[in-house]
Amino acid sequence: MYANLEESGKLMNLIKDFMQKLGSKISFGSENVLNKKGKLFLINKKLHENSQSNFFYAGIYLGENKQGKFIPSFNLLFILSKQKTNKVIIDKKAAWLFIYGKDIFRERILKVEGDTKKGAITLVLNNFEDCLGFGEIIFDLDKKPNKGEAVVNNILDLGDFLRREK
Amino acid sequence: MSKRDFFINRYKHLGWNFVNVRPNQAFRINRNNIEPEELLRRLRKSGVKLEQIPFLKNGYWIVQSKTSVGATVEYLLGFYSIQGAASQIPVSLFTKMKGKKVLDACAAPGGKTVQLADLMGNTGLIVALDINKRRLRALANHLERCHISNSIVYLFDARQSSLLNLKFDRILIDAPCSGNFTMDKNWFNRRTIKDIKQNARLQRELLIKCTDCLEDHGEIVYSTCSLEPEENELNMDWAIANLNLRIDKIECYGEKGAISVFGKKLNNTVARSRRIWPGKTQGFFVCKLRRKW
Ligand SMILES: C[S@@+](CC[C@H](N)C(=O)[O-])C[C@H]1O[C@@H](n2cnc3c(N)ncnc32)[C@H](O)[C@@H]1O
Repeated sequence: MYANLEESGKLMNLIKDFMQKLGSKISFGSENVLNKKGKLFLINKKLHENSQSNFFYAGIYLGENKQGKFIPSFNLLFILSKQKTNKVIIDKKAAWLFIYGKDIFRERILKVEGDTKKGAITLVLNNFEDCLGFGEIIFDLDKKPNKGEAVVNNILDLGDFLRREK
Repeated sequence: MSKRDFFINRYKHLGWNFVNVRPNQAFRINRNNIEPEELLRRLRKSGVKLEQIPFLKNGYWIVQSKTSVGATVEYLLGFYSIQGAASQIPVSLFTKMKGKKVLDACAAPGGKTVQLADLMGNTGLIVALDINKRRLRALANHLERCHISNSIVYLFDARQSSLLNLKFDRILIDAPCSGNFTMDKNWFNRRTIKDIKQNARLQRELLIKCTDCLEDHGEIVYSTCSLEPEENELNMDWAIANLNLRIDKIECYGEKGAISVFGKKLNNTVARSRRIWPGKTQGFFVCKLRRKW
């Protein structure tokens, strides 16, 4: 619906790749996903029936294509965090630092689920299991890193909401 | 007479003696996203002191906080929205929101859109309009942060609402207005009766066009944060005389709307609206309307 099909297909592939990299098995039917200038929105039937193509925002924002790279929304990360995916659960102090853009140290990780290997991407959750963002594993999580070396690189964190408004 | 005295005199005529106030900061819990007790426990643990706002279901005043309540993890997770106490009132006046079709005619930056969605449990549909793109970006961020899924947003003049080809069960007109002195130190110097009247004209146009999109048994809530009767009681008096609308009784914080305005006698039912003078809350005006039968 609405957008150039080829472009939408490419975007759907980007989002699929992203979810696969996170170890997620869920998928969205392309008929429920609208592409608005590179931004993807998941909408239900009621919204579908009542929407016009010139919308600014609709339903659940899933993320956008920025120069061929998929930038997920926090809504998408939230949905994925309720499913089986790669996750690291971190303590309170690390959670605070993470939302200010900092990376994660091994000793601050309380629990790991899914992939532990360098190069994988993983959701980052606090001790209440709220999703704070995601990062890339830069040192195998089942090995002991050197002291002071980060093991998960911050890619996107909730503090982004504050940075966007500046 | 100074401009300041001119306005203060008007307020006196309407029954309020001017006091310079700073309304308390407040927030509203997004109950779709967290159990209130759980949120309150977490915030108290982080050193935030709160007081429940007696006339609101989900509203709290922030009495003391070591950190900015607009930057906590709980805020970023959409568990609450920073929203003044008085500005939580308009949406709370709607009844039976689940599954309804709602128009939020002047929506950005979205405090009330999120409140509507929360009351609706993310069911039904909200169409949110605004003409300011920058403010719409803030609205979009607000919707994303609070996990709202039942809204469609358009960069669109609400005076063209009929082009949406939809009829709405509930319509919120949180109208653009001249604001009040608590929001702007220079308010008294900046404002003139001429621009207040200009705003009143725009508000009437919004009332006309939005009423066209109202379902037969639908509800309209009209609100402003202006203290000027031209934008409030006089507009409501005009609306019931010209738009086949009547004013509903409401139970909420605030004083009865004025029915005698600078020598002009208004329809008695205008007293059913509520005028909220600045104090612990922001200054506000609310009125609930529906079709006459
Ligand atoms: C009082 S503010 C709304 C606040 C909003 N309801 C909230 O709770 O966050 C009024 C808004 O009306 C918008 N506005 C002004 N003229 C408009 C029009 N003709 N159609 C739609 N929106 C308009 C302004 O850009 C402004 O964002």
